[in-house]
Amino acid sequence: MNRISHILLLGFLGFGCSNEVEVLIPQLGDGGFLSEARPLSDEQKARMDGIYSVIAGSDRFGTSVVLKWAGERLSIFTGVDVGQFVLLGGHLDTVLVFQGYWRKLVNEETGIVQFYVARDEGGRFIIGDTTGSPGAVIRMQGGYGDGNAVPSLPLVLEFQRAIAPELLTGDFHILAHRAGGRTADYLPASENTVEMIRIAEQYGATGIEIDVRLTKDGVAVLYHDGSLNPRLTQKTPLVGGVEDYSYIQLYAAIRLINGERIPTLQEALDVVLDETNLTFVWLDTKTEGRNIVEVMVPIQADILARAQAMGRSLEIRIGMPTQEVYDEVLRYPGYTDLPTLCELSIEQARTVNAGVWAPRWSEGTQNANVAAMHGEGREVFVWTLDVPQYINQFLIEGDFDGFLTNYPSAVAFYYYSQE
Amino acid sequence: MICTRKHNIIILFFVALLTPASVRAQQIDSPGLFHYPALLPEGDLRWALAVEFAKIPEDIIEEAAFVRAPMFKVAARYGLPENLVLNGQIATQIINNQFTLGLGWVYARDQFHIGVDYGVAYWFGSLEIQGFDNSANGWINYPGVSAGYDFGILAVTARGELNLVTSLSTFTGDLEISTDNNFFNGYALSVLVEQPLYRQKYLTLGFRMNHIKFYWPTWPLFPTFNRYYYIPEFIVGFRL
Repeated sequence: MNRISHILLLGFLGFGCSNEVEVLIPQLGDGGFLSEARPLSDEQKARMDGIYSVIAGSDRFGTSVVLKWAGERLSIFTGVDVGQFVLLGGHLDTVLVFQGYWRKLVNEETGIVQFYVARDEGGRFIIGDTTGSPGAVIRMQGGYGDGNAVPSLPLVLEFQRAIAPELLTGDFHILAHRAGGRTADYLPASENTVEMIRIAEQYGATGIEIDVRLTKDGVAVLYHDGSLNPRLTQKTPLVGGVEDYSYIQLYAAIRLINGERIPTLQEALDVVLDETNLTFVWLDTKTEGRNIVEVMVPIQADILARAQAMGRSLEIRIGMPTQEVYDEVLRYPGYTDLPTLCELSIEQARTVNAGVWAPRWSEGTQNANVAAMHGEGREVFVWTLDVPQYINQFLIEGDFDGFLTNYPSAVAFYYYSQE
Repeated sequence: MICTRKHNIIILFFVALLTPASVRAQQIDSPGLFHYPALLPEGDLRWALAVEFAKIPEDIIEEAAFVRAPMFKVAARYGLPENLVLNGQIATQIINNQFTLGLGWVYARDQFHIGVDYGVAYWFGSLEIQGFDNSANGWINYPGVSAGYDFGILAVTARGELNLVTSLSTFTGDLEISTDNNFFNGYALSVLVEQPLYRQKYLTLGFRMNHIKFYWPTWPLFPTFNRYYYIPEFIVGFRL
């Protein structure tokens, strides 16, 4: 019997198998060529944005990719396995050099990537020296590796066409779920953090959705789940939800998966305003029955006023995902003037005068309802679109003003690839 | 692999559950066994019920509690000539259902038996709740090998099976999407213990560890991950 017990024990021990994995994204180095390179101007960067054919490396990254600068980072969006590149770059005279990492969000694949653009393969064109230039042909030659391996596998991109100008007007919002992506996607930062907000644009986001809860002492903070749990936090003695603790208790005792603190809504919106070019923030209201709307409105108003003073285009809307939150908004004096977003019916969106109606993606494209909302001057966002085929299908068949997604780079690939 | 105190308590629970039963167990004979790869006389029909509890990774499930529902199964084995066995199974979670039909062959040497089998399963599910109007279906093949030893007071069966997805389709409203067909989805290893409960009724306690990419009952969550996950299942069954 002892032997049998041992067999059983071995089997049951399997229950402890952990799905924890560690995806070590290679760090962006500024050594080597990059330390000597001079930064590109906005005009020079704009010459690089476009759709590129993948001449070498298409087996891993597809036959075409989208290149688009976001601040000081060059992002590349692929149509395979939600692949994305984040690069630093600059120029040495008329030769451009780039270095960074690639990552596929649906699995654990990542690695280092390096590119250069030779003088007569687009270097002079990008820098602006068109004397004797062969034209607007840009050829990015380089290599990639798996993990921390030397990037020795060939990767060659060739400029195919520019992104259609009508796609760059900002009328379509690529909204990154939970400030940029889920913690489960092994991004460099945890979901719903200021660290994630700072990098959201690198992944193609033009706006973000963040989850707002109210602490026991009435501080609006960012946190998704109804409980403090190992999916989102490091080990902690606290049990229960964010609502069960004061902000100072959470500040002292909680570290999110990547070591960050739970941020306040004020901190998050300050970062959006001061450190990004994001144009939309969707506040997903999670706490019910605590008058959270009364706490959110002054913060929202403060940031919007500062944005206006800066001449900055920024929308911040209070989301109404449930009837309880909807009722709370209805009780707020002057609610029809509040910038809000309604996830419920179109009738409720009208009643509360929400500027955005946001149905769930599983309800389909709903073109008739979308047209009705547009006719009333409301925008329509759909959530949460993650399946690449659906993303493409909704772009082709729908008429939405924005997608909420965990994979903004996938939306960016399909959106900017449109002709 | 990471083990925790909570997991060890569960292990002790199972061992404790087994011990009193084994002490009072009588000599069992093959007709009472189901998962053990027994030689079934031609025309012999055996039935079993089971309920399975899976621990789905939080990455996938997040706060969607409805996917945590247990899976109920009814299974049958029918003896054919030449040590062949016809296997059938219906699994249901109300919103998810799977029908499996398979053929197996058994080799016996004293108390040690080995069985090989191949099962073909069709699964489907539908969910209309909170704005969802979704459905899904697919085909999965399960080639497997079982090895069992009849100790007399109980029988222990170890089993390994592959998970080969031949088709997977999801629908929402009038939209249809088919993801990758014909892909290797992973494997599962299981240990099952069968022993008499009372009279000719037998109790099965088992554990299965899946190492797969797509766990079909999670389709309502439209998981986009293309990674292997460990998904443990606890099995409690009764031989009818």
